[in-house]
Order: sequence, then C-alpha cells, then structure tokens
Amino acid sequence: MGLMSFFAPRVPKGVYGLMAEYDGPDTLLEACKAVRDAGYKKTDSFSPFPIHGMEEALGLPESKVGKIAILFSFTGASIALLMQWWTGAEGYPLIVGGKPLFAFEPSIPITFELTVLLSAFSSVALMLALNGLPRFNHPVFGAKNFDRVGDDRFMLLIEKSDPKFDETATRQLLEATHPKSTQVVESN
Amino acid sequence: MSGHDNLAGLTDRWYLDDSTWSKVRNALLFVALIGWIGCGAGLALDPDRFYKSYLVGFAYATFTCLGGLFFLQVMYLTGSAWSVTVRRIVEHLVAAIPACAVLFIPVVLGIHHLYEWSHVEEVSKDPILSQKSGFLNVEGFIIRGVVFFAIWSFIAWKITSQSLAQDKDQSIAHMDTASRWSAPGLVFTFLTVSLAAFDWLMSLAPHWYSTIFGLYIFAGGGWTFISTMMIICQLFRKNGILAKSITVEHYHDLGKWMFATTAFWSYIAFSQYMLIWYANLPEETIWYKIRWEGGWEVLSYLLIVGHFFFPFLVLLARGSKRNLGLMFGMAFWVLFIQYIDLYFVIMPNFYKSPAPHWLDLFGWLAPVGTVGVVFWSRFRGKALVPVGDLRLEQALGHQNI
Amino acid sequence: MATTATLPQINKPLAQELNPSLVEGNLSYHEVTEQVCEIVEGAVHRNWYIGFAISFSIFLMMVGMLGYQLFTGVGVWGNNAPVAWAWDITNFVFWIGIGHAGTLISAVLFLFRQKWRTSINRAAEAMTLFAVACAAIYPVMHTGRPWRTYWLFPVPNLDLNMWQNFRSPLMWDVFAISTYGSVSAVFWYMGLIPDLATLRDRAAVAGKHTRAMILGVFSLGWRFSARHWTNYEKMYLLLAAISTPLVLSVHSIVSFDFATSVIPGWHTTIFPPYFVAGAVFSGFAMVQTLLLVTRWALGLENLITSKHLDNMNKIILATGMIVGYAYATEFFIAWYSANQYERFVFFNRAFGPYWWAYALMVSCNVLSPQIFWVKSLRTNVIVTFIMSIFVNIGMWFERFVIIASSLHRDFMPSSWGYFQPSYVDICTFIGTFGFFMTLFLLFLRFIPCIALSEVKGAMAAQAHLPGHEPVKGTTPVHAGGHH
Repeated sequence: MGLMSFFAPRVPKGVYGLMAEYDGPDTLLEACKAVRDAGYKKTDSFSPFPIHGMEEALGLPESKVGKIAILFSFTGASIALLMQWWTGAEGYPLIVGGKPLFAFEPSIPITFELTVLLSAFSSVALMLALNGLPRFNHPVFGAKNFDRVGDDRFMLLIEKSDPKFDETATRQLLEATHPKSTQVVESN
Repeated sequence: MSGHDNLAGLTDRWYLDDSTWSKVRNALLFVALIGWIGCGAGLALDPDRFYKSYLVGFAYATFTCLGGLFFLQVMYLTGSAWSVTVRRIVEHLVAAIPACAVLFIPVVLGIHHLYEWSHVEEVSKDPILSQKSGFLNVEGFIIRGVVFFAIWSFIAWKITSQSLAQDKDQSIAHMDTASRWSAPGLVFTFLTVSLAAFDWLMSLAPHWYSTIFGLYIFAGGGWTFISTMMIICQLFRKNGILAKSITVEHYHDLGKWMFATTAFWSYIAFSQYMLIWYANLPEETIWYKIRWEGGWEVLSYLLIVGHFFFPFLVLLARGSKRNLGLMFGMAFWVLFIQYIDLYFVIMPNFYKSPAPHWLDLFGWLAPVGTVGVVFWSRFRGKALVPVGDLRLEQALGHQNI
Repeated sequence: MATTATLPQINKPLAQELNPSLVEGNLSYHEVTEQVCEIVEGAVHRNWYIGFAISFSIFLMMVGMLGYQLFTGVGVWGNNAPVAWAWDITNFVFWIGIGHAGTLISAVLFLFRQKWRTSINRAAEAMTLFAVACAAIYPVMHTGRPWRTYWLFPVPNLDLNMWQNFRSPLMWDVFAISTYGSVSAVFWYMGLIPDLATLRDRAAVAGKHTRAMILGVFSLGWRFSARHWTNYEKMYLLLAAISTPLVLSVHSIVSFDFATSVIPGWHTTIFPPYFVAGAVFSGFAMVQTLLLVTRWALGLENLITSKHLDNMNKIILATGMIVGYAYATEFFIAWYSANQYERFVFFNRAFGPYWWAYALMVSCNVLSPQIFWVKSLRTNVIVTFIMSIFVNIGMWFERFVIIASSLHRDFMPSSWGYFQPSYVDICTFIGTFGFFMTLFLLFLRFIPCIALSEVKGAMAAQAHLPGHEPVKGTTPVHAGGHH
C-alpha cells in the first residue's frame, strides 16, 4: 500500500522506473557511480540524509540556489536604502537629534537586515521552486519499502524515460551493484 | 576506514632540501638588510620621520604574527583537522614573535618623537593628560612592552614546541598539552593584544579613547596573517613544495578565513565609527574628523572600498575561494590595504595631510624582512607538515561540503 | 614515488580521542529513528502533564498581568524618572540574548564543522524562537497600545500620516528583531522538513492516516531525493552563512539602542561585540539548563553525551571570559578617558547603591565559570546545571546593571533616584518563563527534539574517519573512500 495513496486513488499506468535498495550510504554511492558510468541520466537516489559525494556520483550539476539568491540580496539592500532615503529626506523630512535627513551611517543596520531577510527567504523559495515542492503525489511513494527511506533505507531509481532504459538490461546493471533487492516502480 | 593510498599528499616531499632553504634564506636576508640600511640612512637624515614610518612597519609585522598566535590557539581549541596540513607554517610565523620584541627597541628609542604623553613638561600643563600619566608614562610603556612580548613568546614557545616534539614520538599527549595551553593562552593573548594596541597605537592620540580599539587592530592582524598564509602556501605550490598536500580544499578554507576576517574587521570598524558619528561627542569625533580632511579622506574612502566592499564581494563566492590565482592576488591586496589601514591609524596623528616618504618603504621592509628571516630559518631540518600529528591523515584528505 | 614519511597509525582508542563518537552505544540508523520518534509517537508521560500545567498557569499569570497593564496603563510598571527605561528593556535584552545560542549552534557551529551540534541544534533553535517571542512582549506592551504595533513598520496608513524615523536605533531594533525571528523560524522549519517526512512515513505505516496527512502537508511532500538534497544542502549552507552575521547584527543593534546615546556607561564602542558575547554566553547557559532536564526526562543520554556538556561548558567559559574582558576594558577606559562622568558612572556601578547587582553580575558571570577549567566539573551534570542557572542570573543582572545603574544617577544630582520594580513587573517577568516553558513543552511533545537526518548524516561522515567503525547494519566500501 503506497504511503501517500490517500491523496489520489492509485491507478497503475505502466512502468515508471526501476528501483534498487541498498543497506547503507557507501554501497548506494558505489551503485550510483556505476549507473552514471553506464550513461544513465534520468536517475535519482533516496536516502535519509544527504550523502557526501552524491552530486558527483549521480552527475548532478551544482545547485543554482546560491547564484540566484545573491540577486535578491542586492534587491533587499536597494529597497532598504531607497526606503530610508525617501521616507526620511523626501516623504516626511524632519530633523531629529541634529542628524542629517539621510546619511549612510545610520542607514546601514536596516539595509543589512533587509539584505539578510531577502536572501534568506529567496534561498528557501528557490530551494522549493527548483525541487518542485510542495508536491504530495509522486510515483516513488508507491515503491515497496519507500516509507522507510526516512528511517534507514537507501534507494536508487532509474526512470523509464531515460533513453538508455531497457527493463532487462537496466535490471541486470542494478543487480550487478549488489542491492538488497530491486523492484519495478509503477506510474500513477 | 582507511584511504592511505588515495592521499595525493603522501607523494610530496615533506622536507626542504638545503639548497632551496639557503637560497630563500639569502634572499630574505638581503631584503631585510636593504630595509635596515634604508632605516639606518633614514635615522641619520630624518630621524623623526624614520620613527613614524617604522612604527607602521613594526605594528604591521607584530600584529600579523599575533594574528597567527590567535589562529593557532583557536585551531587547537576547536580540534580543527583541516588546518593541521598548514599548521607548521603558522607555527614558524608565530615563532617570530620574539624577533618582534627586538623590533620593539626602535619604537622605545623613538618614544619622544612618537608619543606626546612622553613629554613630562607638556603633560603637566595638560589637565587631561596629567590624569592619565599613571598609565601613559615612559617606564610603564617599556615595562608593559616587555611583559607583552614575554607572555606572547612564552605561549608561542609552549605550543610550537609541543608540535615539534610530536614529530618525533607521534604521541597524542602533545596535542592535549598544546590544547591545554591554548585556553589560558588565548585569554592572555586577548588581554595583552588589546592593551598593546592601546599603548602603541591608540595613545598616539592621547586624548582620544575607544574601548573597541584593541579588537580593531587585532582584527586587522588576523586579516594580514591569513593572507600571508595564503601567499606562502601558494609560493610553495608554485615551487612544487607541498603541492599535493595543500589542496584546493585547504585553500578554500584559508579563503573562508580571509572572508571571515574581512567581515569581522568591517563589523568592528563600522561599530566604532558609527557609534562615534552618532553620539557626536567632540572629544571622540576629532579622531575621525582629522581623517576626513586634508587629503586623508582619500584613505578613508579607500579603506571603505578596499578593506570592505571589494574583498567582501569577491570572497563571498565559493568559486573565487577555490580559484587559486584570484586568491593569490587578493592576498596581496589585503597586505597592501592593511598597510593603508595602519598608516591611516598612525600618520594623521602627525601630519595634516598625507605625505608619502621613501622611509615608509624601508620602515616596512626592515621589520617585515626580519620576521621573514626568522620565520624561514625555522624551516631548516624540520618537516614542512606536522608529521607526528594524529589528525594528519584526516587533514590531508579533507574536503569541503 | 616513494612515501617520504609514514603517517601516524590511528588505533581505535586514539580515534575516539580525536573524534569522539557522536552517538554512544554503536546505534544503527534505525535505532536512532526509533529512539527519537518514540518521544513524539509514544504515550504522554504524566510528568509532561504536570510540567505543562505548572508552566501554563504561570503563563496565565503573565496574561493576567499584561491584561491589567493594558487596561490600566504602563504606569503599573515601576519605571519612572530618572530610570525611565528599566525592567522591561532588561527583560527584552535578556530574552533576546537567550535566543542567540540557538542560531549560534545551528549556524556558526555548522560553519565550523562541529558535528556534535547535530543532536542539540533542533532544541536550541526552538528555544531561540520562543525566547524571541518572550522578548517581543516587552516593546510591544511598552507602546501602551499594542494594537498600533503596525506603526512600527513602514506601512502607509492614514491614521499616522507620517513616516517612521529610520535614523533611530529603536527602528533598527524593529527590523533586526523581526528579521531575526522570521529567518530563525524559516531556518528551523527547513531543518524540520526531512524529520516531519520521516514521522509522516511512520504514521502511514502505522495506519494513522489523519496524522500522516497533516504531517504530509507540513513536510511539503519531501521524498528524500538526492536531487532535492543538493538544493536543500545549498540552501541550508546559505541560511547558516546568512544567519551568522545576522545573529551578530541583532545583539549589536540591541546594543546600539544604548551605545548611540551620550549617556556615560552606555556610550562605549565595545558594546556591539560585548553584547554579542554576552548573548551567546547566556544563551548557552539556557540551552544547558533545558537540555540537562530534557535529556534526563527523555533518556537521551546516549545522544546528548557528556562530550556535549564538555563542549558547551568550554564555550560558556570562553564567552564568560570575553564578557569579563569587556567589563575590564570598560573600567580601564573609563579611567583612561579622564572624563569625570565616565569615571563616576563606573565607580558608582561597582560601589554605588547598586553595588550588590554589580557584585552578583561579576561573581556569576566571570568568577564562577572559572570552575570550568577543570574537566571533571565540565562533564558533571549537577555542577553544569547549577552553573547554567548562575550564568542566567548573572546575565540578567548584567543588563540590569547596565540599564539601571547608568540611569539612576544622571548628570543632574537633583534628579537622582533608585529604581524598584512593581509587583506587575515581577509577575510579568516570571510569567514569561511560563510562556517560554509552555512553548518548549509543546515542542518536545509534537516535534522531534533531535534533528534525525542531521544526526544520521554526522554518523555516516564519522564512519569514514580514520579508525572509526562503519555504522551498524551498513556495508563499508573500501576503494574510493577518499577521492
């Protein structure tokens, strides 16, 4: 019984991919390298924690989260400076404590805070957007033992949509990496 | 799980051959000699300017070594593994602290040229300075200087000697002893470095005071120290020394420290400046006022851009910290800007506008060259990495996330 | 090429000394999951109800006090000229400071690769959020009209018809605290997602569908995919990197509230780093207090080990020394400044009417932590607990000393006075502890108090260190361990 089945009635629509299960991060990592070297691209692995070296083992590109977030941090700084300048010097000019209507010195703290706020929130938003989350329904949730990945299971998936995918040959490749078991994951 | 055979660093030679060692030693001796000859000429021609220029160089060399002392102790206390690979270089730099004590002598000799408070006549006429004479007096200045250097040299010797002894017997006891000394050592380093900054640099403007000033100078020392490390490691690399032991991962970590010290200095500098700007008390703002006029404002702007914005933005990116060429250039930029920072702290106390002088070069070259000679002479016959440290294997195989 | 030197050989005891096991008792990943999830999935212990009842009653007292204050006016507090800013800001700074340890443990120790943090960061982060909530009560209530709180934010509105004065440090505070609160909340929630997904899967297996559905929504459909972990790790690293300067900025900005003024004892340039160190100091003490009770009550001694106490106490000792350094520097510079007002304030602080508060502060914050030079005392549970309470008291008094002693004798001797709190002040403050504990107990009950995915990741990383065993139940791969 698939774990997220209560979100949608499961209607099998054919093969989604092949899944192999391993007993630990080291064995999973080795299997991923073997699959990458065999030329598979549409692969994914599942583990209770991020595994050091997995990006390289699966041939994943470096995450774009940081590069885009930096743009938002500049936006935050600009908004803060504009806001402080306009409200203080244009919108409601009032001399307090003999200070100039606008100066950089007292504007730094708020500029810093808004920079931080926008970078933090944009990193999180980007992570979710790049990951396509939230998404409550996914074929892998139907895989056997998948409900224990969050506990202590380590799995490797090769999707059917990979051009190199061939149910027999791919299964043989996976079997050669000494998994605990292999299974077919069905589409939903 | 062991991965001996995959550690590229193991194929490096961990000892310098004598010819390389003496070649570099001779070059450094030559630089130091040029520096001292220039200083000697300066002392004869323009002693007043000599002492002022020399003070910048002395502070530069000394606080850089003290930055190393701080780093070494923090690495022991946090049980850091990655830094073991470069630790021997830090140790040799820290071992140059006793040489800085010798470098202190010209500062003492030039005390009347440098410090207004050393003139008893003037102090007695000044109601504020006369209240401070319990601290700001010639005897106290010398005694404190001697005590500072004694403490620093003692801590440095205690820690570095453990590491050298460990090369021979590979016993974990040395690591524990070094860590144990690092804790009180760090406390004393902090206290004495701040006092030294008050003594040698803050008291150049004897009416002025700022509680954060010690941290300001310390932060700058840490900045030049870590950049010096970057340069030394890369010069080694360019000459095939430790080229595989110090990997891009270690450079990445050195780069993170450069970034952290950039940010820390900026934080301290901003805190000091903004609080004084905001409270607007004349006895405090005067220090900044003289640095905003007469041409000194060029240096002020240069510091804002060069000490903060430029290195901060460049070092922010992961890619630049792993780009060795860029980091090499950045480290030289840091060394240059920190000189400007100390110049900015010291010189406006004497001159209404910046007047560069040929003695500025020699006053810097002599102390820095001397530290370089002492630093380098320590390499003879000693392993280039702490071969007895039990974390060495872990350090050589270190990887960043 | 020949190897020029042989590496020191690491045997098992040495490996333990270099990198002590994060988890005691050679646990498998599954055993860790079971132990932590049992706390939120199992039956509620009677002691939890007792603790909750007590905390909630104290919280209700706070609600009563705040209600009374709201309907009567801020005059029910004891602050009055010359000490117009006393108990409320002391407690505000106290609670904000407490919050700093959470972010410090999650962010700074993360950047310093201190793997031991993984078993305490979740609880410490939760503590941060609750402490910020307690702190926020004070400025909001001190406005007298909490329903006008939106006036503090640059929201265009017709009833105010003007803009905030952003040149005021109090406005910086608004931005610092709200940024800090929201970024910490996001950081905490992001760390929670994989663990909520683990709980979701366990609920689904156990057939608890409503529970699984709720957890499924909150875990955003997390499926432990490597492609997701890549972006997730980058995001987590970024949040840690962003939170580090953020945590420094928050207490620095709190210190600006005081230091931008011209009041002797407040205006001193070392305030920003000094406040930050004090905040870390008090925050770690509070983490110790709570974790010692939690680990005892929930039997987590194998996950929160004596190594944790040791490390935390070292940080307490170190930050206590930094705070001591700041006290000493302030005193020295007050004398060195030769400014009669500076000198008077500091003399008065130590020997004036508030001498007892100053003595309490120095003995709790600087003198008593010195016992932590002894390793056996650092790992002693009772000593640690007592010390953590001492530090909490000392740090509360530090803020009180700074605030009350600098104000009560200002430039004009005719207006000198002595601050005494009213019963509303005292009961509100006690009530905030009830509020804090209520939230913390709810957290312990409903959310895994140990970051499962992080602890497991740290276990896996440690298994690769020289001399360490693979995690129970997994097969190690020898070739390519390092690359």
